[in-house]
Amino acid sequence: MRRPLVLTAFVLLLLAPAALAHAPARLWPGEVFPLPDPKVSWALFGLFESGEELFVVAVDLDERFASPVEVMVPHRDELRDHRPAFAVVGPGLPTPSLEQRQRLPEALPAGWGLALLDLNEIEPRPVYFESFLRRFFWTSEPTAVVLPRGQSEVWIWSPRRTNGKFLLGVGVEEGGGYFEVFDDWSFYAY
Amino acid sequence: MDLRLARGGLSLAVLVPLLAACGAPQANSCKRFVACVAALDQQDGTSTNVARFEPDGDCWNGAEGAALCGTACERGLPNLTAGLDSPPPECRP
Repeated sequence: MRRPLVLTAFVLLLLAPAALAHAPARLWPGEVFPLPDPKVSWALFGLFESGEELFVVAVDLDERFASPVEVMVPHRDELRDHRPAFAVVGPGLPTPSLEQRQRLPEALPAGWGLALLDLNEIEPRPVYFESFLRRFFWTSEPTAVVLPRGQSEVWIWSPRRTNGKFLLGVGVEEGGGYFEVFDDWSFYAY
Repeated sequence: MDLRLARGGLSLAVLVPLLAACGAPQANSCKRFVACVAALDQQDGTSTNVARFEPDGDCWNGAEGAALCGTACERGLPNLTAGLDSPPPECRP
């Protein structure tokens, strides 16, 4: 009788942080990742291997929607200079300045504008403890952005051409499906 | 001893998720962010879902989310009006 109680308590303690986790997914360069539900929170992982990659997340909303977005990098010495940038771009968004256009990894399609450009140059670089993975990350700091109604994209690239993992965080509340992280724990957690 | 451990463990197992779900007040930065978005919506004839950031939104379900949203709103507010000649009063710092 006592052992099942203790075991149940232990399992519940382990699961508690999961209630606040983002749903994980893997991004691949050259493949547009359609965000299944932009209104829940996501942790989108990717890996720069050449430093030249462009990762693209496609968002499709039925209304204008405000959400926090940030990019994070595992807190490891070899990634100290690894600062992926990201931008929210799409049709009908505000026209970027010349300087902003020059900082983007490629030219915007005709009629596209920019809702947010984060070059991840913040100093000092904040450190965040991700409570589900139990790992420290450097973060660009979250920024609240209004995602437009209809289609838009989040572009992630490495301005310094550095290699290494990154995590794009979208949202704040739990999104469910976080146990998928166990499908590829060695990638997500290390 | 085992029974006390079990009871203690069970209490923690109930308490930890409850504590994690304890609410936090809406950050001042998000009050300003929500007000600014509303003002811009009125100006532009648009409508924006800011539910996350509102007082009863998911931002405030716990300390971690509250900190994230507070920072997000502070950083996002200037971005809302970048390039505007006359931002609404609600959007001014």
